[in-house]
Amino acid sequence: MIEAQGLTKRYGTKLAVDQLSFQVRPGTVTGFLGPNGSGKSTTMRMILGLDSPTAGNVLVNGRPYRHVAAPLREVGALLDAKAMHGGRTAYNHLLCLAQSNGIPSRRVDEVLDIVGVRAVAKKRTRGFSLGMGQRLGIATALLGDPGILMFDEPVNGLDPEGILWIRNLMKALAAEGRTVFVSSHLMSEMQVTADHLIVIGQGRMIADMSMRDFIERNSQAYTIVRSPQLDKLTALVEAKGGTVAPDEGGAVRVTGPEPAAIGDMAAAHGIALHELAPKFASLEEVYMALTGNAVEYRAGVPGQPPHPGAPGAPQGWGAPAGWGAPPPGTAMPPAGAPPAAYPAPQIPAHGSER
Amino acid sequence: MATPTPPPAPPGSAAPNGHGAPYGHQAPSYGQQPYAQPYPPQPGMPGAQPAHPAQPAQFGVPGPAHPHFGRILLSEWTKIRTVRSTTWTLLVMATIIIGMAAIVGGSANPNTDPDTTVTLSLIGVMIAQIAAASLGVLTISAEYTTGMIRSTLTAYPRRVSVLAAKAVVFAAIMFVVGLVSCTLAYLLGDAMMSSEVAREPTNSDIVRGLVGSAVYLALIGLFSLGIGTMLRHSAGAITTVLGLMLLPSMFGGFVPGKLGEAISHYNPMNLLLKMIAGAGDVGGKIEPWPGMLLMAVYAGASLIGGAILLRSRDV
Repeated sequence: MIEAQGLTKRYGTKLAVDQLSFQVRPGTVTGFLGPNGSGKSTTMRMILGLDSPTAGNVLVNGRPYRHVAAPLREVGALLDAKAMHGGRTAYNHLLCLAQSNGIPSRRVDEVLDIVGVRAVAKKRTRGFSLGMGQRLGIATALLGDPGILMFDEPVNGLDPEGILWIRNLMKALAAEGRTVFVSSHLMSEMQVTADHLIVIGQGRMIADMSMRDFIERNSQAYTIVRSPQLDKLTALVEAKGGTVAPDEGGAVRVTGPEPAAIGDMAAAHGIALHELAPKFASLEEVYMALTGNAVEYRAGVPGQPPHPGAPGAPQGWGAPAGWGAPPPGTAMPPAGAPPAAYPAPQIPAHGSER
Repeated sequence: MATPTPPPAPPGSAAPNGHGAPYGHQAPSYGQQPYAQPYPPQPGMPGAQPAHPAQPAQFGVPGPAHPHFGRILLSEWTKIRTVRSTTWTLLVMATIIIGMAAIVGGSANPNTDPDTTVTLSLIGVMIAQIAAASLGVLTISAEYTTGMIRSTLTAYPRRVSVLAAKAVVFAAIMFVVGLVSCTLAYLLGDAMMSSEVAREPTNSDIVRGLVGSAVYLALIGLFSLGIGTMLRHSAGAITTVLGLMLLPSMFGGFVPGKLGEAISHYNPMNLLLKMIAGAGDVGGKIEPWPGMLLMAVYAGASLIGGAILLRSRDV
């Protein structure tokens, strides 16, 4: 359990983290989401006592982190993959950290096996690839078999296999009843990993709710309808309080009645339907809309209109053509389909790396 | 507005969840899949097995959980012995000390007022202290430049204890290696020099020279460890330490008045010369062992400064 109360960090005149209050609970993966530079890493460093808050406090299992006697047994953290001396071997890196918490050296062998870097345990970490470094960082986090795990942007720079491995690891850890707190600037990543979401922008809380609530509150649904008797159907839908707007290729977007209700209406009045496809605003869009005005570093993309999350853009009204939308005519895949093994293509429309 | 009813996904991951399993063949498409409930790991997915065996609610490697200085001491010992820079720096230090004894032993000329063999044999310590200072700085600054410090302080958040453990381990290594190197240098130099070029030292000369040099190497290293903690930057800290070590002994004489005199008498190099050569042979009001006490004050002040900054600063 991690509890933050009015957590604030100020660097000079810049407010990096502004009055964050939240709880991270056991048994779930809590996603910590925000654009680059929104204060996620600073918050995580404050949780670990590496940075001191300007105001407020954060407790780990009811105590400030600095008062935890053997912290590796309670909290494991992956802050950055290269928080290690490149001249030391992987085994010795883990050994010296284990010793500082009274963790027996056989546990070092265990975590090396868990993350799959046993083969290079006797190699200096300087030559490690980003993926190997990330795995070793996760081994560090798992050393004390802690009940709380924190990962800061764990999938950055990993290949698809590594991404899948980390996702499954995090879910497995949460399923065992551990507290898992993972940050990302990618909504698509959170969508397939997290059960609960904490969204921040420019250091301020934007949302703190379950993934389901987040989706329900923020995404709008509509139905794409094709019919040779659109006029008749439009009148019926509008009579029920729905709205109808034209879509590309002679189709319409119907908002209001659910797809089943539209189909029933059409059947009852003998209207032929050529397409009846439910659509949802993608979470990427929702997230961009939420954080759109909280993005600190924005890179313009030449030749592209402002991203759909720009303030004032209508929410929930479809993705730009060709962006993640299934081809016309395909039905929405049923909810609950498994996450893809490969990450969705990311649109670099917001936020450039510092 | 009509939000479509989501499938009855369980709110917590603990509940059994069959969602998704029948759709394992579906093409991935998650930009449009707000209701995907990807947890718990699905049996059909590769790598979905928990990495840990399922456990009761109690986590954490068992064992006494009270803070323990012995643990961080052991950790710091492991750290310092598992990087190459330690070995190399210590080798360089020992080579300079012993090598200089050989050079001086082979080239010293007859003298009307000869120094003792221990004094002449330990000339190398004046140069070797540069290695000791560099290692002192690197012991902490390498943690900052590599990012290791974040792992260290996450694992052991009592920061002053971490610095204290580093100081104890470093000082012990430096004293032992210094004492062994100086003893070998003295034995070599003493064997090479005839009574015309050097006089026989008394027992107290030998103890003062050998133990004093080893103590000095440990103290100048600790002084550097403190500077390294304050500056956190290898090159900057080493340059600063070298400046503080060498400049006062070179230019102290040019500073007028009492200040110049104090600089000439109380700078580290002069305190080292007192240990090697004895009180009578070197200028300065302070006796050799009190000089080491002063050296310990320098090192202590530097470490306290480092500890204060280490405690208060963000990492």
